[in-house]
Amino acid sequence: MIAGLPFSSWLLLMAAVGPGLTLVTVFYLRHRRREGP
Amino acid sequence: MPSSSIVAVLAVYGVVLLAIGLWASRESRSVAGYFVAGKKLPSWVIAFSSNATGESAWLLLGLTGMGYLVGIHALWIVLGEVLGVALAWVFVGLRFKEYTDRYDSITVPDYLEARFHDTRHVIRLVSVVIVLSMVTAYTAAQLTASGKAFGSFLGTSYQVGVLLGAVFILFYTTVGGFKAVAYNDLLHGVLMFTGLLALPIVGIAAAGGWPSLMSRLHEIDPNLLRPMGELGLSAAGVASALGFVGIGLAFLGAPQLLTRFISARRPSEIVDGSVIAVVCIVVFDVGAVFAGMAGRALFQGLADPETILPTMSADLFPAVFTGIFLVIVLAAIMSTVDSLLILASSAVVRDVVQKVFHPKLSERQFSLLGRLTTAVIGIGAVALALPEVRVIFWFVLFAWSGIAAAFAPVVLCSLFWSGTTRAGAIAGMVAGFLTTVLWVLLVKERFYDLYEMLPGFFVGFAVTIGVSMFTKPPDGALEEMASVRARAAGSSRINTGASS
Repeated sequence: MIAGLPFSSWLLLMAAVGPGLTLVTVFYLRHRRREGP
Repeated sequence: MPSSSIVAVLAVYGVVLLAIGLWASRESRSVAGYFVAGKKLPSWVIAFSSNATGESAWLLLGLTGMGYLVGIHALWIVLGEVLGVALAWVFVGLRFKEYTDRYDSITVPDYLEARFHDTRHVIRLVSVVIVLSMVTAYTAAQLTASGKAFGSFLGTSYQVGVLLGAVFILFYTTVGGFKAVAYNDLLHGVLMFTGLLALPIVGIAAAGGWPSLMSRLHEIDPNLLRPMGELGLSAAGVASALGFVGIGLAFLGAPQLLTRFISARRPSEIVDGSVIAVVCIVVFDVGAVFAGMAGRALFQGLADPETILPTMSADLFPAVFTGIFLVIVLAAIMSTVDSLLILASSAVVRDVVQKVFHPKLSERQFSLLGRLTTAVIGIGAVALALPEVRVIFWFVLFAWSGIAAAFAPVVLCSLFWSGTTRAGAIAGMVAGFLTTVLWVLLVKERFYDLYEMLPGFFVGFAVTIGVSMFTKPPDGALEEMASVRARAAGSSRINTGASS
């Protein structure tokens, strides 16, 4: 339990939002870098 | 009796919608103007519009109700939707934009016909049948939600609620076309974003803070805090979780969402829009689930869990905010219905009348025909929605699945596998669609209630790939895909993509 919620539920919450946010951040930064200043 | 402040909020909202419709009407005088806003939309408009279209009244009433009913288990829906939106913007958007700009396409069937050199227009005709059947039912379901929303917030009759919702949507959609739809969707998206940020925060605070909420939910039912819910790690539990994840698959290829990529001003708008879209969907979905969970702790024993949002907004907020929450529910309904009407209208006018029959009409006359078709389909949906009140969120999910299973596997194959053929595409569309329908009618009850999107997608992919392997891909498809891939991967800023 962390803050009253089982650890497995925290894992599900992280899995629900983490990969999507990471994927889109990498995509955005890669294109920005390629474009240059 | 509706309080005057609720009516005032509704009136202001109505005036803004109609004003945007009139403002956008200049752009809607040509076919491309009416159906894709002349391909001139910026990143924040396409991002919010795409999510507001994908998420209907189901998000605000259905997903909050799901959070209320199953608690943390509803996060599987969030997983599917966030991943679906991220994959669509990262992998599908730029390629699809590059292809559609090359072909000068303004609808998904336009693109598929050009991609597979379908000179006999079979893909267009199959598309129009699928789109019209699903859109009319989907729109009717949303108008039913409009009737219920007005009823539960204001106490008006169901029929008045359906008609009020329909009048506003039909006005700005017919007058302003896709530009009005996209900008109104932006407004709707921002309203939904704000509401779904505020509701869980206020709900959790009202429940006495996070620790108190958790302990109250644990007392009510410990399964509300477990990822697999009351079904646990059983076959039915896994089927339920997979079905929830499957809801998000539609973001990869539903035509009403793909149209947003076509309408982008240039490809770089998709890169910028991707971040906005994913952050927005995270707030939408996590907000809805946690609002529902807070609602469960605060208002136990609701006969219909899907009334938790109206209940919370009436009990936890002053009257003016109740009006704003009604507007937010209406926003979710309208942002979906307007886009579906434009999609159905484009299927008839652009994909059949203009491209198959080639009548000698001016751009302005085609655009007028588009408005007329929008009005006719809208009135048909009103006629379907008026007679009775039904619990039809399951039908929203069915129509969402029917459209997506028909288009998404074929669109994804067409973007990523140069070996996809015309015959494969046609067979895949028909198979994906029919599987969805037949699964619901014949198999679903006997197979742990597994959501129809998953078998629809699986069969759609299998048939598209299987038939393509035994038929010949279009000439030059390999070289064309290599060129599209290079442009999409490497030059989002340099390629202006302007075709208007």
